[in-house]
Amino acid sequence: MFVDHSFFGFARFGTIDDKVEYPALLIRNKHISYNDSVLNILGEKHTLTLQFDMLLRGNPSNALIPLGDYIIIPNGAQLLLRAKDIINTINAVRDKYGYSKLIYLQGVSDPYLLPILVYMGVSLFDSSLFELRGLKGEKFTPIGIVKTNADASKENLNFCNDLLKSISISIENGILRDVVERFQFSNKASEILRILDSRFYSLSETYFPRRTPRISASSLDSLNRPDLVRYREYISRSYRRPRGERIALLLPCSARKPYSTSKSHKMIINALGRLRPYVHEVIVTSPVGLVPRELEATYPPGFYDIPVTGNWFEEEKEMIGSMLISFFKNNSYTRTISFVTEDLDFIKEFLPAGNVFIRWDKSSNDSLVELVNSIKEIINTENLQLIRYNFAMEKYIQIATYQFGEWIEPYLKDAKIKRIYNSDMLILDGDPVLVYNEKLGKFTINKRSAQWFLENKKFCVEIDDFKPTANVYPVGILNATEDIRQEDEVVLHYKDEIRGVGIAKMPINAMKQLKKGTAVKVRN
Amino acid sequence: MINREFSGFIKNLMPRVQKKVDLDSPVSMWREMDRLGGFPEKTTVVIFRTTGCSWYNFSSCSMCGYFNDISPDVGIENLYHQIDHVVSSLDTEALKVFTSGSFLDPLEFPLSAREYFFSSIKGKVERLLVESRTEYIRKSNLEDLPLDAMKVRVAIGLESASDSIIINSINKGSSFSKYVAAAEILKDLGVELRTYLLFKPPFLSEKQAIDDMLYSIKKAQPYSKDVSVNPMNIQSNTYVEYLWKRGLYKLPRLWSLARILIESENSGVDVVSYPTGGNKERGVHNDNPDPQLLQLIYESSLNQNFEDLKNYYAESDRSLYERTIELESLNLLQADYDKMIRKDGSFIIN
Repeated sequence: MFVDHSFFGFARFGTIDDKVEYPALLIRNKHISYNDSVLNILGEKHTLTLQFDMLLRGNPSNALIPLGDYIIIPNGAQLLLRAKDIINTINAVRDKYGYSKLIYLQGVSDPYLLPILVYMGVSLFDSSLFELRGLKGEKFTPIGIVKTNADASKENLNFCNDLLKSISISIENGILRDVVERFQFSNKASEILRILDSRFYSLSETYFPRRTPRISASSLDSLNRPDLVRYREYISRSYRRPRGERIALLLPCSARKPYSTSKSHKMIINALGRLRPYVHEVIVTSPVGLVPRELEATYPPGFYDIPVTGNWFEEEKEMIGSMLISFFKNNSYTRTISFVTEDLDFIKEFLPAGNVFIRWDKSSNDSLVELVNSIKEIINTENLQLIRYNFAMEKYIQIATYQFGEWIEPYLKDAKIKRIYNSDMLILDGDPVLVYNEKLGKFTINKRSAQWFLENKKFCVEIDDFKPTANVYPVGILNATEDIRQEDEVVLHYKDEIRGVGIAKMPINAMKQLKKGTAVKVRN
Repeated sequence: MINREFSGFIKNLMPRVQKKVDLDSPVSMWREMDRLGGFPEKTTVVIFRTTGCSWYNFSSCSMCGYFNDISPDVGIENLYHQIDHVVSSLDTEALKVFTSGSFLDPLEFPLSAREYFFSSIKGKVERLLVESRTEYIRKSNLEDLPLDAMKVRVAIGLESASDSIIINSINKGSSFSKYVAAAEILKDLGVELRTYLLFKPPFLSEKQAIDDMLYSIKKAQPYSKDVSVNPMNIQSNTYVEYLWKRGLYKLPRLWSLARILIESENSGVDVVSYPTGGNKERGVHNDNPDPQLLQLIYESSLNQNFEDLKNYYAESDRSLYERTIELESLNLLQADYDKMIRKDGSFIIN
């Protein structure tokens, strides 16, 4: 019997029979044995008939061996020769069994594939080939395999165990993706990750958490993280700027997040002074692409870190370029002004005609003066009128729309902002409806606003007839709307009667297929 | 009793076009040591070129590539010429006759050719061995054996006493009970039986394969004059070659073969092994070449004296081998993991 403790997309961290944590390395003769056709996995015994040639060809799922709580993929060594084969096979297992079984992949000989394989959903490995390599003097080290003359089988097992332990911790802490990106000693690991991100994006996105504690973007592979792609697609396709005549002002990013708390952005904001209501600030950067000022504190724009070099990769330029094109197609402005550092010169060609390009020279105030004069000039020539906006409200409506969808906007038409206990809340008829969590850059919902979600069938988890208190287990879940991702705010209801609100803690398919583990963490 | 999908797959690997060959000469002929008379002696071996094994019409055994030597054009006249060729150069009292199929199959080796062959070797050959599938071992088909003129031994490829291995791993199109029935007919006629076993058919781990041999020797012992353990060798266009080329088949080690011989010393039947392709890439070999061990296996088989082999086995450090086959045995898919590891693309520093 296994229980999941936490998920990261396909990856799961949990315990089997309260004694073995997974992802696990099954050690020969300790956890697993195979003698006289009897396979013993953690005390569960199964008699196996040989699978013979069925293992070797045709539909890869022909080779699957279901045994109790486990699905064994016996031909790992063969499948791992081609990234596509292992991906297709694991997808086939998921299609057939979902989260109901733990995947045990045999035949893994490259220890540096462990993170990516766990990321794909493999929970169990065995010691066979890692020991075998050690026996022949191949010792696993943190930077690659070193050939020695000594038996390194014990060290290899320790290496793999330590690695899997760290992987478990990273699942628990929501940063498995960063680990996988950083740990690419084998080209195969890179191949698998890149194929998952490209050809299997929509599948990966469905399972990928809505947010993680932080994004440590280390390489170009980070660009394709499903949560970043999800954000960029929102900006490119769905985002609509706040109303009113405005000048678009493109700015570079800052290391400090949210950007407006940085020294450089404070300088700009100060310089803009009373002109600020005439402009709509949009930050140009990688890996998030474009960040309208209102969304700067949300995830992911407020939660990433990237090596700063002053140079952009072609892929980044291309990404930013195509986002600019879509952005200005969907959002029109009186004029655009780019106020960017030299490294962002390349964006020129993607901007609408009539763009004013000012290079920001941080060594003096001259460029800031030029910016202010340009804005003033445009205000005069275009005869722009200053309209009184409620900027805080504008920001919150944009954040709520980004977080929940456009449908929520009408509900917030008459909302007011009230600050209670250091938090801004949106109030309707004197009652709080959404509470803004400044630290996380997101809203939390309550029973009052829950009704809207139910009316629109958004982020709804249908449960059995009980009163949820701390955690809701999947066994109590009847259904869940497809829009839910792990870490989303959700509404719990029984036959359209609101029973609570909380945060999704597993992918929806896991909620639907599993019995145990925490599906929704309830907020009281 | 066959696995149809398996059979069909093997059939597809068999070449459809036959090479041009000399129909009047045997495939090959040589002399080697054997002990048909219970003592080591020079023995002539001939492989007649025929139209091939009747099983080829349907499929083939997973390890057998003898279809590469057959020709559909071989006629009775050609067989007469081949027989003449053999008889003219025969200079040993012991003769082993192979075809790429069954000598006793009257369609493959017609009765008139069989009769001509027997009459040609009468007086020259004292001990004769011929090979056959079990279906041709019927009393009515064996009446012309020259039992009055020489000692005759028939060799049957049982391969394994386990039917599931015969069906799913070898595709023999036979079974243990058919073997037993044939063996009893031979016994009634006073014909000796040599049982061939195949050591390490595909899908079995080395450990399972050793167990399969020890079990099969025990099962064949009551019926056999001797048991010949044939370790796998990779023949062209076979299913085993298909697997082997892809790293999905691992050849057995000489240590394992030595162990089988040593452990069956007192099994009540002579157990021999003269490995084809021993110590070669396509035959039985240890991870590190060991010519002495192969030589000891030959000699102990031939002399049925296993003392030197046992001493060598006991005195050598086999720990790496022992642990390796233990580790390999955990895998449900028995690939050549040495090969697979070399292909896995892992990052090696030195």
